[in-house]
Amino acid sequence: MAPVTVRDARDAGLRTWVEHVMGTAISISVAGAVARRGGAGAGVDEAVAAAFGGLRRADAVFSPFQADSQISRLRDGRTTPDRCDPEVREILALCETLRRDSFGYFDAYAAGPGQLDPCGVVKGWAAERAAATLRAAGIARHAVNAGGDVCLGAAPAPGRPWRVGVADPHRPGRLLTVVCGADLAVATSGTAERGAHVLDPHRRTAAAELASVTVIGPSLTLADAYATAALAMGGLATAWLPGLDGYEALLVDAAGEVWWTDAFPLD
Amino acid sequence: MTRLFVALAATACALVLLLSYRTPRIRHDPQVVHAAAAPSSTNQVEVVAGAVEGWSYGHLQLRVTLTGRRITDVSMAQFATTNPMSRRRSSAALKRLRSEVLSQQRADVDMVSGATYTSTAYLHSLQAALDAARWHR
Repeated sequence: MAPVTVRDARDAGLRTWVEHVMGTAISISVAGAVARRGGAGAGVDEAVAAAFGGLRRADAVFSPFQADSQISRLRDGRTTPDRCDPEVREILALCETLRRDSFGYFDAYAAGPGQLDPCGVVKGWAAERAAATLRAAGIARHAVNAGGDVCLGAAPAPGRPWRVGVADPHRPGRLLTVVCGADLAVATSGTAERGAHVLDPHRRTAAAELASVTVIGPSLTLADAYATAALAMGGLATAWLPGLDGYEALLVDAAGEVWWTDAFPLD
Repeated sequence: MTRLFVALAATACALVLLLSYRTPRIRHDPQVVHAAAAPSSTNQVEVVAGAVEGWSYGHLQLRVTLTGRRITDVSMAQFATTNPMSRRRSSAALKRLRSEVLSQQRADVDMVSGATYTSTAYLHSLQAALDAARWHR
C-alpha cells in the first residue's frame, strides 16, 4: 500500500505517514521545523522512508508467518542461531531474559516445544529501531505508533507534550485515559482486537482474565514484552508489575475492573 | 508419595525463587506450607508456597497446581499489600476515569495505544480517524 501523508495544522505542525507492515498499520508522526516542506524539512521524507524500510526488513527476518524468514528456518531446523543475523541472536537472548524476568509468562515458545514465535518482542523492538533511525537523521520530535504500541521522541513543541489516548477495551472507539509525555514508550496488549491470542505458557491456554494491559516506560521493547507477559499472567500481574523499575502499568480485567501502579500518570 | 511431595516442593520453591529474581528485596521462605491432593481429581495436586515477606508492596504467597509434572495453574494464595494505593481499584474509579476522558475524545490526542489491530481493523480504528482528520484539515 502506498504511503499516505497526512498533515495537522492545529498545532506543532505534525506530519504523519502510514504504512502497512507486520500485519498492522504503522504511523510515523514528525513535528517541528523539520516537518515543514523544503528548507529545514529537506531529507525528512528520506528518513521516514528509511525507518519504514527497517521495519519491512525486520518483518522479512523475524516473521514466523513467512516461510523463508530466518525465524521460520530456525523453527524448522533449517538453520542455526550462529548462521543467522546478529539481530536474531539479540532477539533470542532478549526472549530468554524476559522469560526469566517474568517467571516463564513471557515465552517465545508458548505454543509448544520448538514453536518459536518472537512476535511479542519484535514489533516493539523494530518500532524502537525505527525511532532511532529518525533520531539519527536529526528528527528529534517524532512518534512511532506500531499497531497500538507507541514510541515517543522529543515533545512536538516546547511545553506541548505528545498526548496518547489509551483505548478502552470494553468500548471500541473510546478512550480510558490520556497519557501525556515525551521520550516515553506506551505499549498495550489486549484481547479487544484479535481475541484471546496470548497464550498462558504454563497452562497452554489462551489468557482471558485481563482485557488489556498498558505499560509505560523508557523502552518500547520492554514495555511491549511486559504488557504481553502481564496479559498472560492475569491477576497475578498485579503482584509482578510493581516490581518493574521504571515502568508503570494500567490493567483492565474481563469484567471491566481497573487497577494501576502507584505512579501511573492519570489525568 | 514422599518423592512426589519433594518434587512438588522443589517446583514451588523454584517459582518463589523465580519471582525473587526480578525483585531482589524479597526475603523468601521457600518451605511448602501446604500440599494436598485434590479429592476430585486423580492426579492433581495443589501446592501453596511459603509466605514471601519484606516485599516492598506487601506479602505474596503463590498457589501452584500441578497435574502430574505439569503446572496447570499458578495463582495468588494471598496478596496483602502494605500500600493502600496498590489495591484493586473499584469500578466507581473506572466510571470517574471514563467520564473525565469522555469530554476529550479524539480531538485532543495525537495517537492511540491499544491492543494490536490488523491492517483491516486499522481502517475502522481511532488511530485511522485521527490520521484522516489531519489529512482533511
